[in-house]
Amino acid sequence: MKISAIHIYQHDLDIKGKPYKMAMSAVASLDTTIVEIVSDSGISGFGEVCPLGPVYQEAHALGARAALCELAPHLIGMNPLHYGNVMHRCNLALMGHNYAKAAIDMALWDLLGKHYNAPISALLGGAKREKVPSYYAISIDSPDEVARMVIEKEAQGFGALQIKIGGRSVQEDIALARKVFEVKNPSTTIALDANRALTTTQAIQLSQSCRNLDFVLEQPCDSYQELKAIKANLCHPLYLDESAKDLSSIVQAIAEGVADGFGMKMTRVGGIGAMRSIIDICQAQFKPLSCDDSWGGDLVAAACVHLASIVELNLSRGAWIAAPYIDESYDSKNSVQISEGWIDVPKGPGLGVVPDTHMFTLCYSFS
Amino acid sequence: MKIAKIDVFQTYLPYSGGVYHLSGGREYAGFDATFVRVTSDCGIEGWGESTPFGSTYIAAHGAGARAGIAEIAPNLLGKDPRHLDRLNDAMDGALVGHNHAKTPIDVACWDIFGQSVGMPVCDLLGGRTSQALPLISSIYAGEPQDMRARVQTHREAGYRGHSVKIGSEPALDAERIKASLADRKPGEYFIVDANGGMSAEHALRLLNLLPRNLDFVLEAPCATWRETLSVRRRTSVPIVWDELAQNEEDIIHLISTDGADGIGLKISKNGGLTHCRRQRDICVAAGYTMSVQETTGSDIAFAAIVHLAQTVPDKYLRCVLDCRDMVSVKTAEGDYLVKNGCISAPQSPGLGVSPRMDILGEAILSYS
Repeated sequence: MKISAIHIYQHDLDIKGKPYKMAMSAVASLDTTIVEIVSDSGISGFGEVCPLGPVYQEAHALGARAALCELAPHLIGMNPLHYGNVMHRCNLALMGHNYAKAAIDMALWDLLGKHYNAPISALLGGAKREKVPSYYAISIDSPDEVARMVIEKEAQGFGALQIKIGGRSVQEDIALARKVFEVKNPSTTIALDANRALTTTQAIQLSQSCRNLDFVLEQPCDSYQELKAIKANLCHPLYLDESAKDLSSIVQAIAEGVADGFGMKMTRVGGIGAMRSIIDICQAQFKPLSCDDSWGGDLVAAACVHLASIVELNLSRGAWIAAPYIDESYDSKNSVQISEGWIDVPKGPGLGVVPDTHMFTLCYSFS
Repeated sequence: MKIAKIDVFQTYLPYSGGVYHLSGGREYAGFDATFVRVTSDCGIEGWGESTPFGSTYIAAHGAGARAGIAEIAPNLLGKDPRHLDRLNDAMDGALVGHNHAKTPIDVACWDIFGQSVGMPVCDLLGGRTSQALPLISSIYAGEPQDMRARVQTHREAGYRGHSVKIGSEPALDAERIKASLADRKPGEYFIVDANGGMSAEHALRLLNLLPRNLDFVLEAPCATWRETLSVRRRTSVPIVWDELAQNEEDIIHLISTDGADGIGLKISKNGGLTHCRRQRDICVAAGYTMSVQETTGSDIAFAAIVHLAQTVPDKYLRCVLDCRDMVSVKTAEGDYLVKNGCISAPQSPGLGVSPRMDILGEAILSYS
């Protein structure tokens, strides 16, 4: 089998309701990129990458498409079933840009699954359950508004909530944490996610002031060095997100005792293949992880859910997907959606999502 | 003063020596160069260049530089080009990372600033030192005796610094180093550069094969921090960091871990003149030596190298890279004449370059 063509599509994913607000930015619509790898046997595989704007991390939509245009010509004629060889060729053609390579990685896994008539979870070793838990990310807001959201999301079935903090006085974040613990259901797990916005001082103040509140602190500060420096002063488990850039940074964070767990972003680390290695490492070291992505439509969501389904149950923090913020679906029959806090693992071959490419704008084709 | 217009130009720069070989089987026959012209509302034009070294040297490529500029440029219109720190804040607010996209804009604004006050950029960056800047050659990895001959050719042209590329196999690399240093003259400076291509095991085997009296520094032996620090702990050879030192944070971390003796400061890798100025000062405070270079590039990239290097105190400056030697196209005129293997920053305002529009052609992207 050979790769006969690669198509690169663009699509605007509008956010339903209010703009999505984090410590350092707010977004109303996201520019997503869809890759279709066409084989000479007639099977196509699809992948997707959707950076959360240009300032969330070192990734942006224009850069993703520039990188994909750099990579695609090198892949025509290769056997798409030899996943590792294709990704190796990608690394020889362009250094870094794992987020763009992730779209190719996903398309190859999708194609593999369709060829062998198996869902990706089966190719990865088998799903440990038929549905995976999701968590809801509550955007930055006042303590009262966040408390209202906590009650609302618990009522919708979510057993885990991530609450965005940072970018304001630490006293307000402390007040928010206390308010949330006044109203929340005792069984609901809470992560406070600062998306890099706290200084080391603020992170320590927040943690020390909330010693008796049982939450996880996610990526409070900007750099790995800052996190390492404050680790011993924190009362709460420390989870890494933006600092978990790739396999080697994750190995280091575990080896140096800095990370207690991870909020993993699939496209940041390079896609399904890289995530498979990370899941193995986290399982060997008993580190909980979630299989998320910064944003994306049904294709990204399906990949995250397949990955989350193979994680041992006691270490799984589930999968976060952007579906609750998006009105449309790429596949009317197999859209990946959250129901009462849980997501069904897609059963169809490959990703289990067959996108309607008519929705997308074709930007570039290589053959 | 305000930024009124930003234009982007693209030119292909063929490698002057045929095919450039780098560790790990990387080969480059030419380079996709991006040029930026920033025009102020009073009509001053400033220029900058970003030419990644292929697409596999660091995580940078020509198309990505232009994608990054497209993301950033609309956010800069109306900003004062002379307020370089604020301008860099605005760039960081528009796009995280992507030093190679931000550099040509930053350099072009320094060019405008210099022209607006009638001063060369080096004087705005702290003032010129009294020394002429020694150039360094770039000796790609090849047969040992051929490398020795290429060092000799550069020596005869006046070069006192040589960057010798290695990274294929320990015994062959040892022969390359011995041959390249065989005719060493007093005052010469040798960098042995693996461009991150060796494992720690390879690096240590190589070092163990060498006689102890060879005078060189080892640059970028390995691809990761952990491996490089491991080699550093187990050798007495001075270690210089390059690809892994890309910003202030990296350099501060290097100092705190005693990971280096010097760095390769490459303008587009390290984020433009504004960031390189800070990194220069941090390195001086730490006692690190610097060679001022570029990933590659033509005349405009070289102008930025020379102006920055002209401000590095003699004690800490090792060499500067004349990246113009690596490409066969001249993109700008200017008073950048090499004398006895050395260069000095021109006295003319700004960068002191006049781009050749016949080479750069029409703008491919414009923002106004």
